[in-house]
Amino acid sequence: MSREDSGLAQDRAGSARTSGLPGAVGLIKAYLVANVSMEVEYGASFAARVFSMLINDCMWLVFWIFYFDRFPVVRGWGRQDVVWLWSLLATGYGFGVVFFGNASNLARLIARGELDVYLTQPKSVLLHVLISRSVASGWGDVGFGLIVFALLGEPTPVRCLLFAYGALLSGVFHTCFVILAQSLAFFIGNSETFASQLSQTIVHFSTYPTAIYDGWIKIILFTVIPAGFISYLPIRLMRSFSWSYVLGVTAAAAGFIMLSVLVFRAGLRRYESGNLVVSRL
Amino acid sequence: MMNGRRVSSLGASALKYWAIGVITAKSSLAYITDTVLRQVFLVVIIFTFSQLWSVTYRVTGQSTIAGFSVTQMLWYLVLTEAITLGQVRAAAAMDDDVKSGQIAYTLSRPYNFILYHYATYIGETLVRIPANIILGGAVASLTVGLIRFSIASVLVGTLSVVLGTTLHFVVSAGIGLLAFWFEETQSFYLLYSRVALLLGGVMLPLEIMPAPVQRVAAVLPTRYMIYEPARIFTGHVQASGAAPLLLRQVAWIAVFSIVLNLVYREGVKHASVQGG
Repeated sequence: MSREDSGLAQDRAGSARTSGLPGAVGLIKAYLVANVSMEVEYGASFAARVFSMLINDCMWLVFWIFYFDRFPVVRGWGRQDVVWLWSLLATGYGFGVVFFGNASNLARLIARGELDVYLTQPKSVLLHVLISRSVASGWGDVGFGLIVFALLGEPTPVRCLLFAYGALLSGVFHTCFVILAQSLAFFIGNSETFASQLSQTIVHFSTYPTAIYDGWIKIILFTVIPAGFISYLPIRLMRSFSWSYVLGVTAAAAGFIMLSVLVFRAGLRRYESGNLVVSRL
Repeated sequence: MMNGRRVSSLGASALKYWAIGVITAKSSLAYITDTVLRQVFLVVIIFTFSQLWSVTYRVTGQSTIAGFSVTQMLWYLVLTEAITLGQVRAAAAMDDDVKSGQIAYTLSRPYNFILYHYATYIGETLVRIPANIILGGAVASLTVGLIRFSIASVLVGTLSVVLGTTLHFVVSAGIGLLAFWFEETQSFYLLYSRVALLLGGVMLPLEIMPAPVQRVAAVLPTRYMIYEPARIFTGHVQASGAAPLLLRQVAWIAVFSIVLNLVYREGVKHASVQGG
């Protein structure tokens, strides 16, 4: 059995061992606590990154408030929709990078042959890679999303539930897309910059009302660069709720998770070790 | 005789910084493909803006909004984004030099720390901005068409861009030098850069903003960094009548240069250099 096959076997074994939800949740929680404790040690730097992201998000929201102050309704989108869009996206994206912050590092790890350290451990390789880093600025996104929703999102008990589920979906779609983009490194070699630009692009597209896009661009936004999934699908929950829609969008999210796991596993078969001696502290 | 010597010394000094700027520009030009590729995200930004503003003009049924046609609006945004993304992070470089102790080496060298950083900043920035304009302009041309620039507006606009980016340097360098006193200056810079983006008219022309915001933006120096230079290119400020604007840019540069110099002098007094 080659080293790659061994890694795959361990991935499967790890999956089995952590397939129980409590096992996976325990592992994620333990990593999150460790990552946050490490960040908090650098107090000023941590606070600066959280604050910076909060300010950055606020600036974009102010931009949209100015825009809709001048043009109140554009193709059915108004100020309230953009408030929901930004609060949903920021919360989902923020939790995504806080819990699975290493997703954006996958291409680098693959290209440099630095996945070895995860292959030798008795946990699912993908889950283990994803949770082993947390992005501190994500807390700024989460804080922004929750504050904006509480202050401007006209929250009601039902809307709070829909908001929470919408943010979860948004985070899932975004994280899965990042995994897919970064996994390109298995197939085309060093694609760190390309994957990073793809990820930036999808975030950028998803922060604009989908109503501004027409024709083939809209098709691209629901296929090749699925920004529509990250923004439009969750926000439609807030705008017009129906159980059939909830089932449909949940199935889409489950499909996206499966696709990203399958692509990662297919890529892992092609992975070549870098023979690096890496220590994880 | 003394005056003659001083002039010749000033000339030699200026030549020194000119040479530093030219070397930096040549170095950036040597990697121009890399420079352009790193700015591919600009294409995405301009494309999204083209979609947003095309729909806005179509929905409102207006041919001009706040004095901008759709073509002018998009080219205005090409210019503001190209300038913003083309500006090198001077604050980070200053902050890094202070924190790493690199500044100690500079103090013993025959050049001024701030002017050295300015020369490298302007050398690289003035390569990146035109490259960005070409890249963003290509997207604008394909989506809303070309805009006509007069030779006078290009010349005066370029001068205004140089002054605007200089003003940005003077302010951001001052923020970077706060590293003499603060462990973390990134937050100060981010706060400033976000105010500059919004109230400096980078994302929206000031005319589109609510009246109270316009009044605040009118008195801030941030409008002279990007908004006014871009308006010269789009023809909203006539090149022939741009002298008062250029003078105001120079005046703001002078004011912030004094502040920067004070911060630097106090900071150097504050610094403790240890051997190594």
